[in-house]
Amino acid sequence: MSSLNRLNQDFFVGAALAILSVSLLVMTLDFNPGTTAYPRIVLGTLLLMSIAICIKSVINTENNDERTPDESILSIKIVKYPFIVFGVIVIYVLSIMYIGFFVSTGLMTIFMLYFMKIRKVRTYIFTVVGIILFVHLLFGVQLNVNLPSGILI
Amino acid sequence: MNAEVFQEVLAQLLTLEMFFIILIGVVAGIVVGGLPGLSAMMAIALMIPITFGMDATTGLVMLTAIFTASIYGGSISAILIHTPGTPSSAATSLDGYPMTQRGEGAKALGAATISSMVGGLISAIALLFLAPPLSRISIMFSSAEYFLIAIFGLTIIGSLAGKSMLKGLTAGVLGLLLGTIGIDAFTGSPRFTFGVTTLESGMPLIPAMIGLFSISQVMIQAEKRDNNHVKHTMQKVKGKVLPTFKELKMIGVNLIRSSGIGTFVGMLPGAGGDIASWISYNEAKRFSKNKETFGKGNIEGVVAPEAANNAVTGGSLIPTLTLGIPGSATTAILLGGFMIQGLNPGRELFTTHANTTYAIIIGFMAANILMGIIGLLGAKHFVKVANIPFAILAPLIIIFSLVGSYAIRGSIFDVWIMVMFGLIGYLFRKTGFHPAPLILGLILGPIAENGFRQAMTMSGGNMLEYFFSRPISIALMVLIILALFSPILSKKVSSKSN
Repeated sequence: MSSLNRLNQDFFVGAALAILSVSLLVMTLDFNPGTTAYPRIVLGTLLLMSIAICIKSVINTENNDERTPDESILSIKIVKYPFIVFGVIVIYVLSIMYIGFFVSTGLMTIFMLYFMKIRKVRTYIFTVVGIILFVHLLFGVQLNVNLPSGILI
Repeated sequence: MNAEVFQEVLAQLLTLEMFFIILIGVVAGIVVGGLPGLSAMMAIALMIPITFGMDATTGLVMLTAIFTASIYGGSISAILIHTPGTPSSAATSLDGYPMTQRGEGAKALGAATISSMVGGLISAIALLFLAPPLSRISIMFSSAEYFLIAIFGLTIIGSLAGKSMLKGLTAGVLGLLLGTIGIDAFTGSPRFTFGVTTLESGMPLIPAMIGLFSISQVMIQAEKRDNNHVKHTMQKVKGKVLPTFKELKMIGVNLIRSSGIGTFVGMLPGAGGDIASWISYNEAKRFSKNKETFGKGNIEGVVAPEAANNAVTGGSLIPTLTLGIPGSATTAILLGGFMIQGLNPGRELFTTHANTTYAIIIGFMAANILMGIIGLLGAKHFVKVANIPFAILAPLIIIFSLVGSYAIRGSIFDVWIMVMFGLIGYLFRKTGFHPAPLILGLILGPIAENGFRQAMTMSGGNMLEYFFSRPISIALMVLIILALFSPILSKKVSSKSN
């Protein structure tokens, strides 16, 4: 991880949070006067911390002690697959509203298996049938949970 | 706990339904704990909506069973395949895996199981006897102290969860900000709702929690798509699971000492199972007659971290239930589970809701015992779950997340909140933020704001004088300052000693 990349990432995170804080602080001008004190204190603190993140990113660009195992520089290569999965989740939720929960769940499972490089037909059949049966029996029958519905089932 | 409450507790616990609930919780916990990459936090966040339809005792006993069993589950893969299922099992693999290589995998599993059970049980006993008297402190709290205790809890988790204190605290403040969304309880006017009517009741906690811990995990795992088919090589598990009487005698003191360390460390807000297991491991080595065999397959090196990390579970519930300060990131989520069931931390848990609270604590003890029995009978089979491909787990987690978010209010809006927080959680983790302080901020935000505004009214505008006129407030302010500076001080001390 190069120093410059790390500087950029933390700096941009801090800057984004600072912009968010300022925008929301401006928004509090329209609030009922009796409700503004606490959100303004919180936003003020957030703004100060965002600035501190920016400053720290400039001063201390390579502090390995402060890096978590999940942390890395966001690049197209790294976020490509996670964002595809995120896209699948968005389409899955949208499709539930139109074609129903069980059909969408089956389709999403098939796509996820294919995406994760599973190629055995038997795995597809067992996984899709197994998951749908499990979800139906656990949530629909045993826990009596209200499942989302669409035009189809 | 008087006789009447005890009878009510027994009536709630001694049912077949409760037995199966604890059994499901224990098995689910062991499975999740045994799967490297999945965490107790994720399991609890996913299970809260399922327990929502249950009565408070049943639901929360299940969650505490998952909590303790998932910590234990992490040891199985640490011992048999040298891959700790949870960070708190990392120390276990140091001696557990060499034992497996030597053909003593079954014995290592047995020692880990017994230690986890004893550690969990001792911490549950500590919870039972220490929490009620400690909860009396909360009676002395007024609005000012409630505000400060919320800030203290947030400062502790913010400064210790994750590696960067600044980012941890920022995440906590973001959580406080999210807590201000909705209709203001004092004036009835909306704040930060952007015209969305559904947001007027506030930011939904459970969908946010599920998104932050579950969807973000699926996205993190998706990064490894190209090298996701690595099968763990499993050593053959041979021999007897139960240690001999001589071995039990040898590990007895270590077991009790490590359980004590775990319970104590758990009570310290923010210090988790990984810290407790390493401290216990070092202490076990220090007191051992066979120091030189540590790291080469010494049974004492398995007993110490396993007793300690499970003892952390009960210990961390003590500040959570009595003062509302979560002892760890996982208990921060568990705190959300309690509050959703209408059980707010403090003295009321041990008076008004005594039958529910004591039933949960005794149910937690039962879960530890059942975990021990199931572990001794089937630990070597549970390790097979570590080889379940993520390709199958990913759609399951997504479906559970969706159903869980939808189930609470039957609202697709909540599902979108979950999806959005999934993305936020992923970006958070990639940029070095921890999601736990954000969730805790969301939970404690309304408590902090109510306390702040009531204190402001009571002080007649002179907040500082009001805060400094109350000894408990002063003590809490000192604790907040200590919490803020202790990571810096400890870093300086450790760098000096290095």
